[in-house]
Amino acid sequence: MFLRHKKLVLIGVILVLFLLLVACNSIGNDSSNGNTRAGSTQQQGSIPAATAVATITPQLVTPKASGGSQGKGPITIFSPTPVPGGKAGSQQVVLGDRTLIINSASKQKGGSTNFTLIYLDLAVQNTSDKAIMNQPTFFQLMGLEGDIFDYQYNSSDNFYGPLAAHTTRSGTIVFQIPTAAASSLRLLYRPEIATETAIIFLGVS
Amino acid sequence: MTHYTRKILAICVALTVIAASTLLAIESIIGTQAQSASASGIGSLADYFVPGSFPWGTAFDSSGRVWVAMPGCDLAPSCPSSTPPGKLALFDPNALNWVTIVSLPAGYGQPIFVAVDHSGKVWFTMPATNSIGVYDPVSTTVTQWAVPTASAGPWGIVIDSKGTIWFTEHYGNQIGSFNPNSQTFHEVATPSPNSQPYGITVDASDNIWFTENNDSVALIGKYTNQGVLNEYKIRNGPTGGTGLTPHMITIDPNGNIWWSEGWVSAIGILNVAAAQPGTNNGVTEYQYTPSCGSCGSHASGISAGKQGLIWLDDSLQNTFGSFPIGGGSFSFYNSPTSGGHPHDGLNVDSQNRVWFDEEFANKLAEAIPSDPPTPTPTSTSTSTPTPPLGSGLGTDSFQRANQSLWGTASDGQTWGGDANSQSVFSISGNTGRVSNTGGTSYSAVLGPTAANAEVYATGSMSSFANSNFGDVLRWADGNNWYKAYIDGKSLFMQKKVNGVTTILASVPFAATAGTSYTIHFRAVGSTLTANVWASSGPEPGGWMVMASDSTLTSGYRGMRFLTQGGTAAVTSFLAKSL
Repeated sequence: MFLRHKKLVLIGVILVLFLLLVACNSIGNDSSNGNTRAGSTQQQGSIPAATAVATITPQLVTPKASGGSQGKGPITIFSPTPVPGGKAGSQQVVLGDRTLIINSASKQKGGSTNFTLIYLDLAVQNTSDKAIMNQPTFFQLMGLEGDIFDYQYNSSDNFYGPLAAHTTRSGTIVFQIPTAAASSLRLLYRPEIATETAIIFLGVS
Repeated sequence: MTHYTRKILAICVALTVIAASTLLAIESIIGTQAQSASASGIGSLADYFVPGSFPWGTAFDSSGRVWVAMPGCDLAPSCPSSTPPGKLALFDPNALNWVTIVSLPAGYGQPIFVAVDHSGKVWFTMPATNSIGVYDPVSTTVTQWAVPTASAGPWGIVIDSKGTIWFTEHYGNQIGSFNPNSQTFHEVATPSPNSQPYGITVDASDNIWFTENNDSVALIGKYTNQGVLNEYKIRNGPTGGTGLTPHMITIDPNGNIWWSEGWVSAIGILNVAAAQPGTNNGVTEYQYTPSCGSCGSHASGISAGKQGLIWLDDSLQNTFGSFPIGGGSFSFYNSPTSGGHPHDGLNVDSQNRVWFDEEFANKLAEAIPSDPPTPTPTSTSTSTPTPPLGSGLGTDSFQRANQSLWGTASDGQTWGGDANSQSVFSISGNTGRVSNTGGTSYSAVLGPTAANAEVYATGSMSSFANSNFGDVLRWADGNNWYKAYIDGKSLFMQKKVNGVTTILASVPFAATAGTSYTIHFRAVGSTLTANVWASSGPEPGGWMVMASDSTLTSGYRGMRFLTQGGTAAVTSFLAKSL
């Protein structure tokens, strides 16, 4: 009799604890409407639970265009055109009066782990009958977070300068950027003719 | 009951006790954290899926509802041209739901930032299509205008008290304004060609404030209501390559200007009363230590709250936090969704609720501060003193064991520039070697910076074919220096400023491969002089080349090499201040 009573008590305790466990597990979770409220871990502590989310059908608007037109944005290049006979990963960008050739893009660690050097092996071909410019300010890097970098730590000493008609300048330019920014990089090439601005995907090796 | 049954029951009891103890411990921990969070200033935190993707900028309408721009792609760094037009959506904090979703029609781009005018119209920027647009909730129409400068990259947007629309042109160096009545644009350029303006805000007097994002520039711009452009430095001295990228910008209740600083884990303030254009007077930077050392850090959104706090978020740390306007210490909290990437859309509304988008989670987050925390008196501001100019020597005999890179000179100083990072540098046979540079020149510098200085360097080249070596003075980096060098035919004096080289002087000088030469280069004020001679003989009397140039005033001393497929071998280096 005593043993049977003890058994019932133990089963009861287990059931109570199980119910507590289920109850505790439900605290802080409210995924109605796919939204998340509270329950998130904080560096300085958790946050009290919040109220439920109401469900209102939003007004879906496809507005009528009442005029105007879009402008001329940069040329965006996501699928590089390889240089005929060039290195693997090379690409050429044909613009109105010039062709920009990216023979390679690579990175090395900088003077500290916080910084990375991005090497671009480039050539600029003047394909026009007039002289064009080739200046350091034409070359910038765009990365994650929206920031743009143009600090060049080094460059070939004869790379920059004007290009006479149908001539080419080749060389290497070296950017220094924060290491955390050295991924998903694009080259923002903005020459003296703004309509030739291009954003070029860089497969940095 | 059998012995076996009793054993099973005992195990169950033991497991139950362990489970109960664990639960009690977890409950205890949760209780402690909640108390701590409340004390630290956050009452509640929530986030809501947006009816689109990649939410970016936010703005409030007159009812306190939140407009969100959703480009539908990640504009940092860029979107494919095939990306369809983006969306705008309006969130009602009272109903806790989205009340309007605007799908931009064909011919429109991807909105990135939004601003609401006095009549409730929603203005937005579209960098990929170089346009600004407006949505009228009453007529449910949209209109767009092309920015005059091609590929300008219209980015941040704000509206002044007169209803003029102001925006930054992030792909260039301008800010622009648009008068909705006359439908005309006006663009203002900064002096720097690559300032890449990013965030923008307006003060109570309709002065426009904006960040100049590029870390080579790193300025705060102000376009006054009188049409004058002023620029304020954040730091004295060069900032290129430091990662100081002024990002979003806001104004606190005292009228002072705050901005996030991107990759340097900091925010800055300009005390307007102490500000002087062209200087960093009145600027203080406050830096924080990211809790995740391997995640990267980017201070992105920033907005002034109503309880004496500046709110910010760090997209790579996945945190948001606050800093007392009067100075003190940072408080940070995890963003609701792991990997959510809280970015530029942080805004504090009139009820002191903190809103921010979680770009990669496609959510809008809301944090409601509780009681204001007591500011601690400890300031975490960082100073950035300019290194003092040096007056010491730099000398190296290269008498040391063979090694890669140049390592430590015989005077105990460590070689800088490229000498300890580029594999073209080595020590071999008690000479400093530079081999196989290809078409790229590399530098080695030693000792502190100096204004007036001279260098003696002795070495030889295995070949002078399209190759040269020489001394550098006032070297700042590979793109800024004076150099005296020989190429086998002449002694040249050259400068390179911001990447562009200019020959200052030259004199014929025949040099042969394998012969050792000494080059002596001196800079005093604007006077540059140089000699070269075969090392077996004495230095010539007088100077072989002279030039006058005042572009560069101070820098490091060293050497620079272009060896193509050959090798330069240096046997001695001596630099001293004058």
